[in-house]
Amino acid sequence: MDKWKDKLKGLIASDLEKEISVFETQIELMRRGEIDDRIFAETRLRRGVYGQRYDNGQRHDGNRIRKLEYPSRELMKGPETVWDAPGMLRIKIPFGGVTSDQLILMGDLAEEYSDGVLHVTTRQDIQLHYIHIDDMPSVMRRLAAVGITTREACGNAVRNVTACPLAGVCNDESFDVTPYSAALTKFLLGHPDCQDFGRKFKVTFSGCQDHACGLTNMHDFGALAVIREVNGIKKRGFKIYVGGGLGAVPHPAKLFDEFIPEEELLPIAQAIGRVFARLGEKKNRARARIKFLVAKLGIDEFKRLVIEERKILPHDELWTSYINELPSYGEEARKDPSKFTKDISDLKFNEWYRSNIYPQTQDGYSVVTISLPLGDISSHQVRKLADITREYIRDSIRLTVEQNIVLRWVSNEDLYILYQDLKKINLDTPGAGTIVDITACPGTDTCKLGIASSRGLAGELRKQLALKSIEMNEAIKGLRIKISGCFNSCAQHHISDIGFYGISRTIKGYKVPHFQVVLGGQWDKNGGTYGLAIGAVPSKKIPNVVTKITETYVKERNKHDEGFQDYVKRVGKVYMKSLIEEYMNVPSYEDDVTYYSDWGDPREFSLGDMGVGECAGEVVSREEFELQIAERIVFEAQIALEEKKYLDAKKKSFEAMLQAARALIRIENYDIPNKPEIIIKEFKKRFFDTKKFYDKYAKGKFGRYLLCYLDKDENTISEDLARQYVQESQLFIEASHSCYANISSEEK
Amino acid sequence: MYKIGLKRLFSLFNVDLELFIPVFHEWIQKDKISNHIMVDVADYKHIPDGPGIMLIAHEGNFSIDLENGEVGLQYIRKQPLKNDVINNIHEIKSILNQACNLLIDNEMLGEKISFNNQYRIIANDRYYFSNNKKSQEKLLEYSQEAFENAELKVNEIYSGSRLNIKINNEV
Repeated sequence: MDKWKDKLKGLIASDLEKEISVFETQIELMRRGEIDDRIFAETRLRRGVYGQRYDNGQRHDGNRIRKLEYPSRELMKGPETVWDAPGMLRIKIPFGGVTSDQLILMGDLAEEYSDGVLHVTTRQDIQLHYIHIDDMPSVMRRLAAVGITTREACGNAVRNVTACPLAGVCNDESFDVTPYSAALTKFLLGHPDCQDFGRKFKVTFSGCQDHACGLTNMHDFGALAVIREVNGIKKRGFKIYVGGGLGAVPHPAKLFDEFIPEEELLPIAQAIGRVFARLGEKKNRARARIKFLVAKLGIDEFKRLVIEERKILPHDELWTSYINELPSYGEEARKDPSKFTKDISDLKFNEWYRSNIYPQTQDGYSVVTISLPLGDISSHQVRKLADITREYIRDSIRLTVEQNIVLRWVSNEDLYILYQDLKKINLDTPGAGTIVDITACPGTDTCKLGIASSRGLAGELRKQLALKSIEMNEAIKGLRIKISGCFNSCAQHHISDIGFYGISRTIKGYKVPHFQVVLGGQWDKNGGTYGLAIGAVPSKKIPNVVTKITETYVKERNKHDEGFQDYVKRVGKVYMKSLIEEYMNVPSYEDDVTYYSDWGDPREFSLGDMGVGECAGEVVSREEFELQIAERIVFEAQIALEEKKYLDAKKKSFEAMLQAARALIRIENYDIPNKPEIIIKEFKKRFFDTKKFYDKYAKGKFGRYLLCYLDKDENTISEDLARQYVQESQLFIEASHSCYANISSEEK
Repeated sequence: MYKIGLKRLFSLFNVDLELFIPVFHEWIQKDKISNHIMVDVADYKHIPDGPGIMLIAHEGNFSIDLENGEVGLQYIRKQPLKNDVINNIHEIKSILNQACNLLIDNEMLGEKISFNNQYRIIANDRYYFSNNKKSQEKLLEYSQEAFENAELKVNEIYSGSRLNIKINNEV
């Protein structure tokens, strides 16, 4: 039994203790082999206990694949997940709000059970890595004792409810969304209507339309604060968005309703949950997010079903009981308001002040952003930080989706002394919210799905950009960079000025880490516009790409006030691609081996799949050449999309997939005619049905993009749909590259 | 009680942290640490006051720790050891010193590093060692017994901190 159970008796809420005890029992049953491993996997996910890279019990050490001979031997904690292999715990922090006591506790837990580092995620969670499953109940009890649950942090459930980190102190918000996000968190946690989803469900709150705020455009359910006058009385409510999401195929959210009054917020969310649970896809995980249901039904029909559902919901007191408590909600300052009048000659402080301070709507107070490199903070730092915060504020601390920490309600005259305290623990990094403040998902460091090293690249870029930051043009400083290790967009690369996502390419039998360069995304307006990929560049050349793009932008922008997005739009993607083409080539392995490993990892990239090409004189194989043609065609589809020629974009997307499929088919049937029906039939027979085109995690998802294409007989299509086809085509081509790499390595 | 961390300080550290990444990968490839299942190398050099470069193993983690600007090789034990506390400290010290010797003998690091005989011991089990005077005395007692002639000094204690003691074995 967990030794902490008795020690913490009376300090843990009974419902939380019950849940943890149930999980503890399930762990024991799994250990005895009395639960199906798939069921246990989902059970632990719903408790926030996630898998981690190498948890299948093997790892490539740079020379060969080695089995990790754990003492637990054959005991598993899920399909292909070894019991003793370290795992990750995701800790939900609703609206990112955290207290100093909670920070101290999490610092202690990271040191005792993890690796001494707390990682702030892009959804305001904290993640601890390398924890043993046996330690999870102790960790959960200790978290519960300070009011934190990990329940539904992962799995097919309502994930952490996020909110703008400036809620309540922002100069532009309609009203403070914090208590509403807290109420919805409490209401939906473990709600019976939210237990049968086919996939996860992400909720966010925004206080305004124009800034990034809560990023409502990319959430399954987004609530944006609105005040409307009803019969001469100002009434609070929310503009509701549904069906947004990034991931492999990004969907902008649809407007569900211009104004849902506050008393209807919870019941409408519940009704949406019921419709999603009832009609959402369950078997095909690749299409199970609510965005696919909304796209399939259309927003009008989806709304009609939700309204019908709302009418038959049994009344629940919880829908409105929190509203009576709203007037008493609010954060308190520790110090009186004051003016910042000092003339400080400290250059570093002034640089920090420019980027890391936000003047609150409440006179005399500021929000201080603590910029965390790659979202990481050590146990030692976080405990010291907690002590510092107690000097200046009262638990008004929030985590941000840009992987930082903000301290709210700092009295202005304390800013310099607070800065000096932060400096003592190395948390005085300037440049919050600038190009240096790069967001990155865990990528190949710890994520099982990571393809390339997003953190390695982010670290390198951060280092290089920080050196230039003092002389950097303000227009460059204001840009944002976000890097995902794969197409799943955990770092939200689609909504940054310059985004990257990890892919791999096979060059003469060797794998080379690459990143797709994504331009044109918009962070403001709640993540208003999604960028598109313009080309794949080897990982080691990405710093050159950033330099080239940013310097050219500054040189060529109109009248020195043209924004980056407008610039990219004006010059076009063909031009932007031409700028980076010089960095796309990869020298041979013999000429420059550095391209064949990733940032911060000296192992040869995916060495296990490599082999030396037989035809030393051949620059590219026929298949690689034909796949490159497919890439060109999909790029043309993007241009068509940009020019609002949506049917052309669709046609080109299809043509690109056919080209890629034909390139693969020709390995087995060289003379296949160039006819769509025959290509699809042959592709299905030779690659889809045989599972040669299967992705380990996405299964047949990418292949289906081609197989289903002929069914889509549309004369007119929307921009969203055209964009979706382009994205799908891009993913199909990526999958074709992987398929070809697998075939070549098998042959060798 | 086996959740103990022991850090041995460098007397010379004239090397880029990044160099420890290939060194630790090599340890994994060549099974350099006995009785350890080595899982991966984590790069935390971007955290100025953090664990630097870390070698994650099932039994315990090794890191080039940077806390408080005192650079040292740290080993934090995660899996149980079979002895009493004093002997567990001895065993942890032996594992740490095995790793220190590997670093000294490494060609890539050459003569750019050396260790002194100063350690820091951490009680990393808050169930048995709460952050209080009584536990502190207990840890002092154990440490004195494990490092017989050493000079001991209790390190700064702050909120939520784990007990940690500086051990000067050079006196």
